[in-house]
Amino acid sequence: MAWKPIVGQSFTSTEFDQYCHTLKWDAWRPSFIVLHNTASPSLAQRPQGLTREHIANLEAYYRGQSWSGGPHLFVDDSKIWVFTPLTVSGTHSPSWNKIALGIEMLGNYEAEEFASGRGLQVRNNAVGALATLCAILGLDPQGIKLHREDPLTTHLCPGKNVRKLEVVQEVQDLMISRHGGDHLASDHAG
Amino acid sequence: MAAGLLACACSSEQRAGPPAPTAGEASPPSDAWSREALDVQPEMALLKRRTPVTTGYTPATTAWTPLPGEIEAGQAPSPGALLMGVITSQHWSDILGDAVWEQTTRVLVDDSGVATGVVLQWGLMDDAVAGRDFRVSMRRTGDTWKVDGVERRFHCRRGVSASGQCQ
Repeated sequence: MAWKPIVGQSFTSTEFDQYCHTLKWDAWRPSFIVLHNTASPSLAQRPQGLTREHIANLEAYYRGQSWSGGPHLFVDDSKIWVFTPLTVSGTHSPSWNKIALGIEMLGNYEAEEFASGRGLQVRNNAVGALATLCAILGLDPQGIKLHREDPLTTHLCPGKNVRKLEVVQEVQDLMISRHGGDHLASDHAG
Repeated sequence: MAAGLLACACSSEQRAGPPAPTAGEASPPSDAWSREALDVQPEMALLKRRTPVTTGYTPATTAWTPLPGEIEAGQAPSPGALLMGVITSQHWSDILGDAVWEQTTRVLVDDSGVATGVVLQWGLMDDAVAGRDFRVSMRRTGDTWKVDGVERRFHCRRGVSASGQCQ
């Protein structure tokens, strides 16, 4: 498969929102978003978060699988890294690769905290990215899926400390606070 | 379930340097018609070799566990035909060409009317799971073969958790 080169840029949550407003989903448009964690490396294994070198290593790894792409985002405690371009399909969940964006959160949330410390910072960045993408693409946050919901495989990703209902609620709350509700998916229906 | 099948525990050890051959992950023994070779997924050893240490990933394989749910397999005149029937009824092949690259099937029959079939799927388009295997235990009753039990395991790209699942 021809490799879709990665974007390799990192953004704060605010910068990411601005970046996404410059994108156009003409050739491919996702129907929902799948949330992952990296598990290994964990937060403890990346004390300074992800670096450009780490992202380059990840690109080499994903490319080495003979895939055309990887996940769309890697989110750490300070930045949102755009990996596979958000405007094309990626590779992350076998049931949903053709129809969903994939967001990887740095950390092992089977063991590491997702409600405090660096885990909370990752969570906040992920919620920010999810709110941006749901708003711009007109996606209902209720449609967000966790990788472990993929029926083709059985695994922990993104870890038991990631509770879907809490994440969905936070995304909805952030969308309302940013847009006063005028970007909620229900407004795009019909 | 044939005696001994459930005792197979597959590798979950951490990788350090060149991988040591382990059950389910090593290159096939020269005697392909053997129980040792039956469920070997050679791609797993290659995945270990080509996974850079810099990624922090430690590819490993989960243990065999019973497949949840009912199996509608019926019976067949041979273990090979029965295995194909299970594959069809379970829709295991439906993801070929879409979410998985390849599928290998093998059947080993012993002299006591017991057979074991395996379905080894590799190249899952999943960032955590590289492959999934199914193991079907079969028994001859008169002129027909029936399913005794089905197990599955996963080959994990990042490693296996303490609870035995892909991370």
